[in-house]
Amino acid sequence: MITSELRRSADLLKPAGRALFDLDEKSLWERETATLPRRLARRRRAYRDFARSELAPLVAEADADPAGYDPRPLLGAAARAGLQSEQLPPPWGTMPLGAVRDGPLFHEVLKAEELTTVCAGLGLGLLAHGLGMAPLQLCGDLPSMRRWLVPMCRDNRAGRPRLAAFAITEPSAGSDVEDSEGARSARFRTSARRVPGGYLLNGQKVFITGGAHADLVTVFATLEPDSGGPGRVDRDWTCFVVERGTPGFRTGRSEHKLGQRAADATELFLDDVFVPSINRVGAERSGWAINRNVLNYSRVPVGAIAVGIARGATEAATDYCRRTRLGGKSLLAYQEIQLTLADLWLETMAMRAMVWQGARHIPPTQGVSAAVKTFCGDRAVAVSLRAIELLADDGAHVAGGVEKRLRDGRLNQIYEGTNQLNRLALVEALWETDLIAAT
Amino acid sequence: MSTTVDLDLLLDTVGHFASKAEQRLFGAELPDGDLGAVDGLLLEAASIGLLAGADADGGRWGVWGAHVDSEGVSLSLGVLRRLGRVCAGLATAVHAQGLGSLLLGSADRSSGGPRPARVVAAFSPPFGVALDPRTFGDGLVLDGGRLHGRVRFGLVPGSADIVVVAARTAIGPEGHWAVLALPAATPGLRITPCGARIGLRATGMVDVVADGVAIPAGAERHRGRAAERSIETTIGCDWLGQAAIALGSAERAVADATSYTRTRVQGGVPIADHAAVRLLLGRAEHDLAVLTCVLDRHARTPIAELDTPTLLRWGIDARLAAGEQAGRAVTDALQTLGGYGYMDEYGLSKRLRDLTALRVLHGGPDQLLLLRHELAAAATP
Repeated sequence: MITSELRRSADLLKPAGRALFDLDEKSLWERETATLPRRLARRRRAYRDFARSELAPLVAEADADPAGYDPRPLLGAAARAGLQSEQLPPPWGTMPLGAVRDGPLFHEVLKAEELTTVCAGLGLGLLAHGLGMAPLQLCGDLPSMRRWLVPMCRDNRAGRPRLAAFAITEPSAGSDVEDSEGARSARFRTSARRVPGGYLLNGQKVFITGGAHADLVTVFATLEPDSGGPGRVDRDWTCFVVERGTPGFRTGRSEHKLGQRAADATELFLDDVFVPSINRVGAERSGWAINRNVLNYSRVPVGAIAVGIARGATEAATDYCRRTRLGGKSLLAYQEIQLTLADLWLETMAMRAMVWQGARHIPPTQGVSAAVKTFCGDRAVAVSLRAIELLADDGAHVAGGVEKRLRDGRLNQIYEGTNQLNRLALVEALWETDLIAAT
Repeated sequence: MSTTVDLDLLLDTVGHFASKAEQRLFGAELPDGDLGAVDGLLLEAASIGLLAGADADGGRWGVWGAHVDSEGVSLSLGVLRRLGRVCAGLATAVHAQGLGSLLLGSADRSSGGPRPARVVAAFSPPFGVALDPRTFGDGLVLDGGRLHGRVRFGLVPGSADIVVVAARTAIGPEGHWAVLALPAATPGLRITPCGARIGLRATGMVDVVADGVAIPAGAERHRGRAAERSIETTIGCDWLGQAAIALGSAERAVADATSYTRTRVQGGVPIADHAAVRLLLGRAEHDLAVLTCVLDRHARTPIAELDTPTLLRWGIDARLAAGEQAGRAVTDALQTLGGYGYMDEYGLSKRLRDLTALRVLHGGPDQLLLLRHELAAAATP
């Protein structure tokens, strides 16, 4: 708020002084958008408009009854809006021109925040497609890209929604692959065996986002070592494309979970699934590197999901205070309320600053990505909890609009590696350069 | 039979009841348990004396029954803590009935009259205590024999027969207070559910709206200072009870997580051997110890010997500690299970939801902090 006294005083400044003094009444969102290159600013606006028009009407139903929620209409709308084909530039996809210069993740983090500000579950259901496609983008293998990435992007760009999912987690192993030490002894059971013309896959994956509806899954399996004996994730992991409908490949149950409920977390079963050699993504036994790099690329957008959750909680709490009156005045007028609101806004601003800075690392690196993911996940939970406390009893009620943010945000401390494992991943990344060596 | 034997017997009975409740509520895979079983469990709780004001001797030994006046709140907190280990929502329903009994007050309890089987305990900001209307609504006003207004977030143990409410007897901060017990079917009295909430779903939560309700003869139980003391005592015990329930729920979460860490292998060893997991559980255990100490502070002092500002400050400390300590213990326990902790099947997500609801039930932390300082300042010459 700029008071009339301040305006009068500013008018007395010399023109150069006035030019240096920003007296515009613009929202924080507009101010931060104005710092972006024009093409990204346009994207940010488009993502926000899409989220408000397409996601907002679905939120209550999808959260209350995820089993009854059909994501296909939303996937279609997102495809038509160009959100599901941003893995490649035109003419195949809709990646923003200049994305390489801006940072290949920048449009992804803007999209992630805008979608998840409205609903983290619905947003994740769309964003997980990018994760499923990431091994194909990052393997550097042109035949794989031509065979899978280009047609998927082309179909989505044409408004024919096709969905990809990413499958690493198994019943007895998950966060093990977040650091090198854990990977050596991880109990991953999904295996690949060479057979004439291709590979035979066996095993089970769990908690696979989008697994219930995906047309294509990038599956990580341990290739039997040539020397015999048990395979090791960090030596033998190999990535394969498994298409829906492949004999022996089936989906199991979708888990009932605390939050981000609109995005399914589904079991996948592979029983003697034959995939031809052309379904291998990258070289044999390169899966460990592909996986690690996928996580480097995905954790910054996961941090942006946390920003969206925190922003959603902050905006809902602010709206509550705006419309609630107490003792003849708005809640906004109370100092204790202002102090808490300030905490919510400043935490969200700090999270966003970290995400945007992380997205400027080209290419993204393990240390920075793990730090962004961890910090933002923790703060999203703290902000959501504070928002609930601000609303007091109303905060625990669905109608208050903030309890869902806590349920959603809690997953950000777990998926893409628990925050404990991500802290260790940060230490691992800094080990030689910053911890052992004197700086 | 000595009091000691009675208490031992009751605690033993609570243990049996809790085991049975767990089987009935969580036999099927439902995120909040079988809520249809709650009413039957409450009837059973009443029959074995766990509910205040619902059995032949007035539920003297039930949660917040008449015994607190002479024996202190230790037993009530212990029962709620034990039930909280099974289901915080069920424990809150038992607690709710006790709050109704407390609000009726000690004079009423000793009168030997018939007890309401089930109550809605609904109270307004107590006299001299700056709880804002977001906590309890704008409140009810008793004027010329008629009751007007609205009070929010009343707790209901199942379907209520009686509504126990606190009402101002004059508008304005200087107004005096009355405590009323009204049949739930009283014309003009509306009891409306508050809507879906994050946790504690085994307990009903309602708004009570009175549109010029004519007060039946005998419905007014207390007025003036006696009413104010009842209201303040009830609010203090409400927060203490919430803290005990939170403690029980968190204890169970930590125990379940500890068991899990012994069987789950990662990096070639049980995760119980990972420092990251040991740190989480060590902090959770410490948090539970801190909350236990806060709850024990005056637990053996008869309520009649505690002045209400002391009781309220203690209740605030306990509820704030429950929010911080029990809340963190549950979230740390959930974290040790990784992705499984987030799934309904393992029960920890329900505990997190319940603890979140308890964190703000009948007052958010900032409201409690402001009130605490006000009480402390008032006690300082």
